[in-house]
Amino acid sequence: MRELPSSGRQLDRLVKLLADSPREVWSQAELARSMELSPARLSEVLAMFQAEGWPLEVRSDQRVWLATAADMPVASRVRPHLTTDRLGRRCHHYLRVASTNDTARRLAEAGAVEGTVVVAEEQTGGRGRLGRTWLSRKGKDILLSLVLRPHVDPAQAPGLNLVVGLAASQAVGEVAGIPTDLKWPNDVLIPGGKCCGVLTEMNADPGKIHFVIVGVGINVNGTSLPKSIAGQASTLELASGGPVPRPRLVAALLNRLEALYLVFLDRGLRPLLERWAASSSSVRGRPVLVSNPGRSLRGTTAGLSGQGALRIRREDGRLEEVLAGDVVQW
Amino acid sequence: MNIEQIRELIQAVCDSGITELELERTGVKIRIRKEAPSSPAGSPSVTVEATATGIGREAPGAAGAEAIAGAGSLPPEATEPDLHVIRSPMVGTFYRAAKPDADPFVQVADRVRSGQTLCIVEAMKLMNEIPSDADGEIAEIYVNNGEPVEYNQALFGIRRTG
Repeated sequence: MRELPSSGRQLDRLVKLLADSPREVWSQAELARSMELSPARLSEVLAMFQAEGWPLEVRSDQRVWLATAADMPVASRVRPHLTTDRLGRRCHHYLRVASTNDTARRLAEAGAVEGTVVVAEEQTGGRGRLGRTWLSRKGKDILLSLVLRPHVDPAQAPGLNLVVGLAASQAVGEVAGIPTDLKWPNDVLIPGGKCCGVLTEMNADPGKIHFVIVGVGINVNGTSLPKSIAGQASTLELASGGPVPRPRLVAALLNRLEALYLVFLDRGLRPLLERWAASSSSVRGRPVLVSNPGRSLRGTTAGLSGQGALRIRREDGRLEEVLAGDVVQW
Repeated sequence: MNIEQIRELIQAVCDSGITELELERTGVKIRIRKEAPSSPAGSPSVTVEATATGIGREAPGAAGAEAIAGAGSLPPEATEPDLHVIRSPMVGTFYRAAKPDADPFVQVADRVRSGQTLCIVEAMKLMNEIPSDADGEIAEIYVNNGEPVEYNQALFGIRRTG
């Protein structure tokens, strides 16, 4: 169902009142007043919201509340868990966007400060590397993009991706209490498969970064996945045996990332490489195939370079540094 | 002869005792000349000279182009004088389109404006959209889709307008 953009904004307003305000139960008259809608229009908006599958409960006294409000990663539910100075201090929550990276980029182009976060319950055009689709399940995953404005040379920026992967694996371990494993450059693996992917987009002139958009997708709750990825992916709930609170996970991700990001800004990637490598079972001694359009490379992983590139010892003994490509294990 | 082969040749010259190598193949003549190791890092500087001798790459005007750079750096570039050159801000993989089955951002002879995205350079899953910093017309695209690029390597030559 495609509704008009103005309806989308009204649904976002509704969620803000139901999930991102101190009060949880609302009379329809109060909602209509707060949203500046006629009672008839409010009924339409509520019906639309329910038709989209959101568990809006109507009590016998006609007051309404949202059963899943506590699990929505909205600003007021993330903030109590945040220990950051910058990251996540501005947090925009949407029910549905094409891609959180695109929304964050528009905010960045309009001057959004470093640390601005966009989270969505659903993506209609979620992307991965090389235009691949990032599948997500409405209301169950973390779909988050972050605006960063690092004062480093653009040539150093790719290292940021290792930092994000490390932060995500730490946050998943902390909140879900399950073992994690990093796959270069920044996939987080849990028992059962991949649970987290990162896609970073940079806007820079030679010599100056305007902004970097860090997009993080985490499969959090639910025990079923789209068929096309079921064999390779997993969810935190599947691996940990219980639902994982998304607001806490968002906060943990931002807390961990800010701590590592400050080290990266201050001293570069080098002090973080060892920690990254210690969190990855495949960074050394693992036979791999690295696949790129038109070119592939076989060998054994041999750690990271100072820039964070993956070193591969080829079968002829030569060492190569890989900066891009799909690392396929066999 | 592709970039990878040229890169291997340069590495072979660097690693060897010889100071100069000249090679002609499929219409391209390449001369790699190594100078005494005098740079601060101790790595010898290498000069690569490529000349189109027949079919293959066109080289109007000057018969060849010269690039001086550190070991492992590349390739023959800039044929037409006065082209505004867009260079890669980082080491990575060059993509002409946002995804494999999409149209390229730009083609030769396309008009571009300052700020318009020309390509993506990827390193470690960081996608860097490279904008044009001039208005003009794409005169040259120096790199093929999916090829590795070095820091500061020429990507596009733009004939400025206005």
